[in-house]
Amino acid sequence: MYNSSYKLVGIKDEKSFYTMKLYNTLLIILGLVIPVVISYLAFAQVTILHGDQAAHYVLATAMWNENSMIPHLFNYGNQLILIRNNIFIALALGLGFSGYEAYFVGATVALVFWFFVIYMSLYSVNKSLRNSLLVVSTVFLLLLLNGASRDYIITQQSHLANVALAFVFISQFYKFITERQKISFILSILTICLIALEEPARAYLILAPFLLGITLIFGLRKIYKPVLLGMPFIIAAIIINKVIDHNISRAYKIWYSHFNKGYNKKLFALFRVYKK
Amino acid sequence: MNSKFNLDAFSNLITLLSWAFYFGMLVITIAYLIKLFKNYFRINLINTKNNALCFTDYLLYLSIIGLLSNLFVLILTNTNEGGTFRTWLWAVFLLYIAFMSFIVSKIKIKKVYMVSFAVFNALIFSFSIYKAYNFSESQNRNKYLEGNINPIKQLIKEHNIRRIYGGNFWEVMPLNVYASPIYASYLIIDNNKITIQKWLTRQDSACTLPNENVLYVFNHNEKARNNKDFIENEKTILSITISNGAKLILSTPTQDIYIGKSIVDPSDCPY
Repeated sequence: MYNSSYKLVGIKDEKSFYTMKLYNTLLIILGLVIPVVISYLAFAQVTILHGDQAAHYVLATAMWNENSMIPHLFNYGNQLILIRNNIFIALALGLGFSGYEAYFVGATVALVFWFFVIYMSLYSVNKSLRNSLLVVSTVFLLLLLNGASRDYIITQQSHLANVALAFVFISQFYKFITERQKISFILSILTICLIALEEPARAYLILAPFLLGITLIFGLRKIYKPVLLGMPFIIAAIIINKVIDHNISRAYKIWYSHFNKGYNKKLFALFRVYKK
Repeated sequence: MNSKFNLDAFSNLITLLSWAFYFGMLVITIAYLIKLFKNYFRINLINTKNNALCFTDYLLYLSIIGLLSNLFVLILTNTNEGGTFRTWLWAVFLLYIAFMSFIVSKIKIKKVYMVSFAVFNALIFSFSIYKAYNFSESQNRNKYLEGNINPIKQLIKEHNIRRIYGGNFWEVMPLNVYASPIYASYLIIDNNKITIQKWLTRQDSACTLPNENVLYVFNHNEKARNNKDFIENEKTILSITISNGAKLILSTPTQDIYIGKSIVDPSDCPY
């Protein structure tokens, strides 16, 4: 799985070298085709686009009309919406699509893009196109089976970029620790900064378990330098987010306390037993 | 079409095969889980001085820590990211990747079989798409498009409508996509003013010309009715539109559509 010896074999034997090249290009093309099929499959199962999905479309129209990433005509909800399918829907609107077609085309292109990013990131670690393609495509198929993950990742795509960037961040950090390549360290910092730029809460929820995990796995001595080097960039991204977040138009924020109460009561009831 | 080849029966067979495929994956996953519980808890985490920890194990540990920590965050705090399970989707994704890369690393087969596997998968997908379009749910979508959207599109053409208002987020917002060139948004009463709700809407959807007609859409969909947040709001908005002289133009079992002048406060428009 981890050796890339087939390249050396290919140089010795021309025939197998060219078949290998053909095979690899086929795998890369499949990596572009499979997400299209997956999104087609997901949208065939979705009955009617719901309000949140429509909101991304509305944001995309405002983005296209104003030619801006943060249009002032759009009223935001809880979070800044920067890197979701809105960019790709706006591009689809620019190409002349409209309505449901624009949404479908934009969402499909977004899925292809992030699928390919995950694919290449996994390939950079395990050095096998075949294995990474198999893994990523089966994982996306598994995501299709669950209604919630199908909505958040494949059709609504509010968490697709988050998931993909988190995966790139974690895998590239591993690559940096094991292979000591500067480019992978830069990539990992860049991805976590992009997550923090959109919504700091999501970055905290990834960073806290990540820091705990890597100290347990690699030990403090190995990780303290990259962590200290990366922290200023993350803090800068959070500050930029706060500045933008303060200036966009928005009526209020909803704190999901009424969603949480149910879980809290049930889960705290477990602890109350011991108090009595 | 009177062909002997029954596409429905064939697609049933294919879906059966695809379920068998998923079932096989489930069995492999469970086998992996059992193996994992046997072996992996013996590993000393800190004892990785020279040879690096396997990437799969690294992903597995991080995903488990992520799931547990997100569970505690869910219990203890209310974040504006939403106190729902969507916050740990990245950890679930890592877990899936760890499982699948373990399974795939154990498979050692030739290229020819890989290509045939890919072709088989493509066949499954294409026929499950055919199947998906015959689901009762997608018939529901056709019902929605024919019963709700097409009459609205006709009214838009007849009366040159540019704005649609309503009282319920979940009913009105999809009209932005399906009845494309118009702006649809939902109204609320704020400080004795009727304004568009500043929540995932376009601010210029409040802008109308002086003698322009707008549509008001009120849906009888039971699923939307179950959402309690908007019921009271929708009732008040409906009574205000009727008292401002809007006329009922279309009434179907699924929705009532009123036409009239805009009731939105004119100071709401940004230009």
